[in-house]
Amino acid sequence: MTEARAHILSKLNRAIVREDIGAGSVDDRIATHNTGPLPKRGQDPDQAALAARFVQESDLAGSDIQQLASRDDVPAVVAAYLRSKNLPPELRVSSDDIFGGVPWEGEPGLTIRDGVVDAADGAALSAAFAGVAETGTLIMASSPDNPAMHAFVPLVHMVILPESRISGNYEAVWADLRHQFGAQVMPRMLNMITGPSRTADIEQTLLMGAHGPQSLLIMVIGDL
Amino acid sequence: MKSTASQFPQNAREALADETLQNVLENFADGFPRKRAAAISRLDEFDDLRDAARDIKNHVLANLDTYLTRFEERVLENGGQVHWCRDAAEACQTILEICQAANARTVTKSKSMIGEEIAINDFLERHDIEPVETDLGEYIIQLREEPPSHIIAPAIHLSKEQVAETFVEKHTDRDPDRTLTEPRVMLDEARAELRGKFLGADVGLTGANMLVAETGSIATVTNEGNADLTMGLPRVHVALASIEKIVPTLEDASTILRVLARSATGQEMSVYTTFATGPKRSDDLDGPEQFHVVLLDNGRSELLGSEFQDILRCIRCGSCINHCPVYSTVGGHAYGWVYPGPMGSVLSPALIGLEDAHHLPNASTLCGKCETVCPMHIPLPRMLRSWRTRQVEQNLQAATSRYGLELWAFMAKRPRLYRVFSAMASRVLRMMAGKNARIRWLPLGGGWTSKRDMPAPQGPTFMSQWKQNRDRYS
Ligand code: SF4
Repeated sequence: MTEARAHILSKLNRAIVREDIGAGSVDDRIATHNTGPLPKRGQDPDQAALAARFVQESDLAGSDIQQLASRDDVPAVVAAYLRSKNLPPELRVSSDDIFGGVPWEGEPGLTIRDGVVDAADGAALSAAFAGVAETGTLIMASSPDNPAMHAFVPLVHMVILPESRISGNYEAVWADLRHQFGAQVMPRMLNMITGPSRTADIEQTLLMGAHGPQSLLIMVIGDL
Repeated sequence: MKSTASQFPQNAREALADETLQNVLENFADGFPRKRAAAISRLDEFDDLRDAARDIKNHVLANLDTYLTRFEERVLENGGQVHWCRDAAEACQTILEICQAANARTVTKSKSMIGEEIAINDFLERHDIEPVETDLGEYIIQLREEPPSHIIAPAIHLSKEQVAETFVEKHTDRDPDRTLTEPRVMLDEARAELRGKFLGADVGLTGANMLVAETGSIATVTNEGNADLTMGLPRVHVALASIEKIVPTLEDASTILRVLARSATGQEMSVYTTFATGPKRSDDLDGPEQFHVVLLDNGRSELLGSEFQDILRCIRCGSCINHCPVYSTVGGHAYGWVYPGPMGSVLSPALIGLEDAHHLPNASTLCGKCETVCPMHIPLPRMLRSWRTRQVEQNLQAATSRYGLELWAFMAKRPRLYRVFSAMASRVLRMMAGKNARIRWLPLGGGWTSKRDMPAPQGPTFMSQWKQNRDRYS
């Protein structure tokens, strides 16, 4: 293996038509985080406009989206959504702090489980790290409090996204990420999610729910 | 995968005679280009983004060794392992050893063209490990024991009736008389079949669309979510990537993502883009215990610094394939190896040798559409011509075209003879064509006229028109 490594690197070294920058500048290039052209779409003037664009774009991507005034509205919306999907009133919820203030007791019929999802779970709820208005994309950062598999195993995935966490473009989120986690540090899994799972592999017929969720509900919460 | 690229003419003839395939291709030719055009029309900055994406890759290729070592450092820091492999044999052996060390019996796989390139499935099967493809298209063709026919839509050559037949034949636990006419029902059946496989697999093998040097992350892009289940559920995650997949930073990845999905399927973004960085962390509730990256060269380092270097910018979006008139006439299998269409006709000769793949650079009209729609500005027609030049140098063209060209050159160097002959030929062709100016059959030209009519030359030759009208133009 070390032999293969040395062999490949020396072949590259000989073959490369070298840009005049060298190793030091590669490190600079990595450290400066230059952005490419940033689309105008996503450069909206204020948070309300960004949120409106996020709602519009995630709708185009096939997500279901609801704007809620506060966390208090979450239980009723969740229960109604499960009913609309013909699922039992059961939900796996990640242990993100954001769920601390959700008044689940308002929906006594709803069974809430914590821990990691399993094959029997029909629906899971987790918290988004951010939302990107440009394309209606959720950014999920995995952690013990937000296991990545919540977004993939169940038939229905629900997400809470505080309106204040909506950014215009991906680059703004990477800056936040570095701020929170440190330079060059990533959550173990960082998932960009744009709509529910789908496939068009049989005669180009577009169908939702290929392996991941058939429905994705995003709850944008104003007051958080 | 064993190549049949050397039989391209034969393969293409069979494809043209295959009615089911022709029906499917008719549907194909219209869908992808329309969706791409619609997505691009929503993004004013698309052309600027293409330029930027090209520049990122050029910069990486000019510093590839440094970037690879930076990527490796980050992977190690995050508790992962990096395995450098020179060729397919080394990569297969490496993956096998990882599987054996984990006592693996089944391996789930998300779609990886490199996996096809090194034929990892056959290799694992020979060593009693069951590989299970999880991308729906790949799953279908694995059941049928067929290779993919498109890099992003591997089962595009099949009708839904063929998919139904395959499911009835292979899903033997189910009622053989069940109704399978709707794609929805077929998908639900495949989803149910694969659920157990996802949960039971010991190792998950994914490809990687990008490797991020800044963070040591591998990035996958799917619409189904199968890559995420593949890497998230088993004990071991192996990501298989070729060395040119590096990007410096998350910002660079973002620029490339902005052109990738729009060029591929006409989506703004694919549904799932995932950056995976190292194995499960101490308090994580899910995730693999081991994280391996298999870095494969397999001929790419030979392309660096050569006239074919630009193909290393390719992000496998499939746009050149979706817009290729040859591909949409013969489909992907005719090309005979892993990568079809224009990008394949440039890449395959480099990876399996020009001798084997010498027909492929000719399987193009050089219409130039592929370069126009390539988000990475890869000069595909120029490189196809370079391969053709090499064919001539290595004496690999067919005898008929060699003699034909020699005859033409002989005439072309003798203008008077050429003029007399072409005027004669033009008259004869017009006579053969009759009133509607179409020729249905041509001696020695059966290859053309069996599939389409030959238009007859219109009016006198260029030279005689020139003589008559010279005064008007000068
Ligand atoms: S050559 Fe260009 S258009 Fe073709 S697959 Fe590669 S990046 Fe896409």
